[in-house]
Amino acid sequence: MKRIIKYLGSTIAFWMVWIVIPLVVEIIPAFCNFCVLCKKKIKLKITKANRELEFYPEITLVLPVYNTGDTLKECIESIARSDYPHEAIHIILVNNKSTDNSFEVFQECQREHPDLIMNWMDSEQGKSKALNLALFNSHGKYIIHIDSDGELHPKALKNVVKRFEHDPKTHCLTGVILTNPRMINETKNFWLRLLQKAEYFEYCQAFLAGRNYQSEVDKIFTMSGAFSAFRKSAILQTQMYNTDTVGEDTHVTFQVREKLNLKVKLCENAIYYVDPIESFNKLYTQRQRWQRGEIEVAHIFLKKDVKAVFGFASNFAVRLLISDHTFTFPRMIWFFALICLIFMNYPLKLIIVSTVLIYALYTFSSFLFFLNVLSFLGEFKEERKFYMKKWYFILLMPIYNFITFWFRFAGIINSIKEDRSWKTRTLTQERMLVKETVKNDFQTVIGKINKIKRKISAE
Amino acid sequence: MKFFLIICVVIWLYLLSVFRRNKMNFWYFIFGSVGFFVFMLIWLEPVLVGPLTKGVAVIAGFLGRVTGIFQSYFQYGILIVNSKDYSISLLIDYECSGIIEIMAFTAMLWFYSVYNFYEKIIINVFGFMWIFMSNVLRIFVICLLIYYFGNNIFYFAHTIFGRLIFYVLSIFLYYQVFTRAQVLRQKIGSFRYEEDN
Repeated sequence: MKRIIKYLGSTIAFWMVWIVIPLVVEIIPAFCNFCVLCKKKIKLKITKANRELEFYPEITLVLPVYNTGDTLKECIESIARSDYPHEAIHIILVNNKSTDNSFEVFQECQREHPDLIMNWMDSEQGKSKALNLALFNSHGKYIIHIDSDGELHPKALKNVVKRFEHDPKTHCLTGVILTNPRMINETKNFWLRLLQKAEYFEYCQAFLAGRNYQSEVDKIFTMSGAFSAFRKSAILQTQMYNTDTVGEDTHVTFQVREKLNLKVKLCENAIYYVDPIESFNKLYTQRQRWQRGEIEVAHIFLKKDVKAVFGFASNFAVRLLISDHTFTFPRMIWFFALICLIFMNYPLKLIIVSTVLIYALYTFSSFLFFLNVLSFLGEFKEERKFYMKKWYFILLMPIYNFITFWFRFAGIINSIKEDRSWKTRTLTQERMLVKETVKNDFQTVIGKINKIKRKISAE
Repeated sequence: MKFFLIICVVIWLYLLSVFRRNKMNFWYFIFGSVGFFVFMLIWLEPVLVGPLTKGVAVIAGFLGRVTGIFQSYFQYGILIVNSKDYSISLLIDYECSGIIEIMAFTAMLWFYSVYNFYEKIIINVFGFMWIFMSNVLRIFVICLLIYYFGNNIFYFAHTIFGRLIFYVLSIFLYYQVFTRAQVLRQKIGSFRYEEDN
């Protein structure tokens, strides 16, 4: 027995060299997150945070509309399916210069759902401007924003209001965003469906494990732009939505946290469904936009902390920035350095085994999040079943995360040099550009060679 | 081999020009920094590793002499720690020299477009010194732990503690050089996305 323990001890110590950094930086914190969320689940059960209300107050539902004619109807129908008393819902649709048939769709919905109170408004172009206009014209006790290209879960509105009413200290809530399982199942292309399932798994973990944990320790970095809710008294004290950044949702979160010093929480049982990702290209540009939004908001709000040499010690948002931005650089270069080590006479076996070990650790943390998500989906039988069936993504998530890591990294680098003429291109566009340039260069060289040949022959 | 490498450099330079002309900043950064790192590893590492190892041994040895904890034989890159019951010799090889970390930092810095040319020179010199001193500190702490806790602590000191110290100091440098600078200089507004094909 002693010998076995000694052998195991020396083996673990040997491999520790390779795994100590990911273990300390990622796996141990993931385990702590897991424990915090288990505690939260128990607390929610004990305090009966989801008990029914005797009275449901009036709420204002704001939907910015920009060329969403093809999705608007389903969105409004999902509101119509809501179990929240319809007479207490006031819907404001803010059109920001749509050029499609959105208005006709709105009229059609008005005819089909006479019990829903709906108003149409026109604003300047831009989501932030549309939201700001609606905020001034809303009169519900709670103001809830949802995008007009997704669907609300029937219980979502009730659960949000219950949370506000049961906890007077909560002023802002963000909902859980999941991709639509029905649409994932309808996707015909196998690889795209696989990507969409991975994305669904990622959203579940990001909201029901990641953001849920941030909410519990009062460190939410961003409310979701697709579904967020405010006490009217709180949101009207802010400077509204900023029109200069692509991360307007993060911007308003910071205003609530930093300027008003109020709490932002996640309502983990209020779900809003968005469309699954349409293509690999879309994922590439979407993740770049997210990363850029984070840097822009950091530029606006964290300048003081970032400027201070030890500012990262004072602010959780700066620490998040370190995790999303700073760590990216050593990770990138060490990924390639690891390949180089093979050519520097490092034993291949050592590199392969250590990579497998690190992969196993990431899988373990993914498994912990999987358990957390299952526990929080308990109220939603269908979603739980759908998620449970995707258990094998526990093993695949490190690969998916590895891919999105590069996309976010592209976001970091591409947002440095930017002018008015610069655009974020898709992978396909970039490939075509390279192909075109190489072809032109090749033709130029061939042309020059032919010219020289002709000159020589003429002489 | 030499011919093959020259061909690789030519292809690398050509690809960089393609990315640059098309304003593909991300690909320019990745290809540029990784290529530069690999070429430094091939041509510069064998030249620099010796002096750097000796340098680390000299400076760490100076600290050892001042504190009386260990002695340095920098000509051979060896440190000898004399604890109460043991005498342990530590060999500083290329892994301890920090050469790979210095080259990784340098490679990324020169393709990171937040800075201009002169800023890059200054930051490169500063970064080199920072990584070098971080390494000296790491080695000093390892020797310190061995001196006080004996031979048994060696593995923990070298594998975990020393590594974490070096990692924390490296991340501090990366934060100051890459994150802080970008956040402070980030432009906002005037941004748009192209539609997918």
